[in-house]
Amino acid sequence: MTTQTWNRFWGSTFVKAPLRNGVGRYVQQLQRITFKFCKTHGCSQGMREYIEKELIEFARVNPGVVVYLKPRRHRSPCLKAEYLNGGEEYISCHRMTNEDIVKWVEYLRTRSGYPVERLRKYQHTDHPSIQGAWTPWIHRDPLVNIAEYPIEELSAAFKTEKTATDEVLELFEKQKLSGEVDVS
Amino acid sequence: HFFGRKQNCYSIAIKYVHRALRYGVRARKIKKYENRKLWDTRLTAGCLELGTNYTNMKSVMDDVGIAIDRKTLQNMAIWEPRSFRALASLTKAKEEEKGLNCLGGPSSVGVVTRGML
Repeated sequence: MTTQTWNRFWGSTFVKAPLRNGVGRYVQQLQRITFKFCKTHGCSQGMREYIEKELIEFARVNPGVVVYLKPRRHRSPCLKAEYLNGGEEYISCHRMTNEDIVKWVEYLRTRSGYPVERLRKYQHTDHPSIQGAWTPWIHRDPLVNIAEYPIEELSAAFKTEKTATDEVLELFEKQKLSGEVDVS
Repeated sequence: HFFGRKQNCYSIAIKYVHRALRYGVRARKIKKYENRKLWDTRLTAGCLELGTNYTNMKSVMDDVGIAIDRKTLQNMAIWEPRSFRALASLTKAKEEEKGLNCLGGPSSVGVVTRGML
């Protein structure tokens, strides 16, 4: 098949948080983690080391996360994370070291349950307008609301340019102010 | 979003998938161009409603030094119409001074000649 791409195959969403998480209180979205490993095979060596050394500390620090261990013979090690909104993440830990697994567990802990998709916009707001959105009447004189039709001013033709009469009147006004014309 | 055999049969579907990907690549450039055209249309409409025009507004904003881009301006015209109206009033006040839309050139208010011109 062709190579996958962000736009067509991996999908795109807008920015969102589950139930507006973080606006008020932040709730960790990780519900449970399952560590599946083999007790003897070499590919699970890093995972076994993690379970011996780091797992108890992780469980103590995150009391809201349920940790399951599944020792299964002849299976590759993997991490399965499930989130509060029903989303799931699967990461294969085949031949990973202890340090790698620490980092991946941290990654899973901080995810929300939504799948990884291209963000169409980097911002989201429920209230895009402060002054109030545009309406057809926002720039019009509110006297139109109580007007009684017909109104001569509104029915008149639009004046696009200054007429000759207007220009002459303006000139006259200017000359009056500068005192050239004798008004009496 | 493919119909019929295009979504179920591989050798038919692959042709249309390739085309969809090509369209996606080409559209990234076109999207910027189309968006800018849309913003220009919206701003022209907004300016005409308020009694100026878009070219004057651009000219006045350059002159005064307000460097708001088209995207933000069109968002203002839609969601913050009173701020946009303030900018239009500024345009109307300044366009006379600059001498836009009239036969005479820019007015000589604020120009110090000391009799040399």
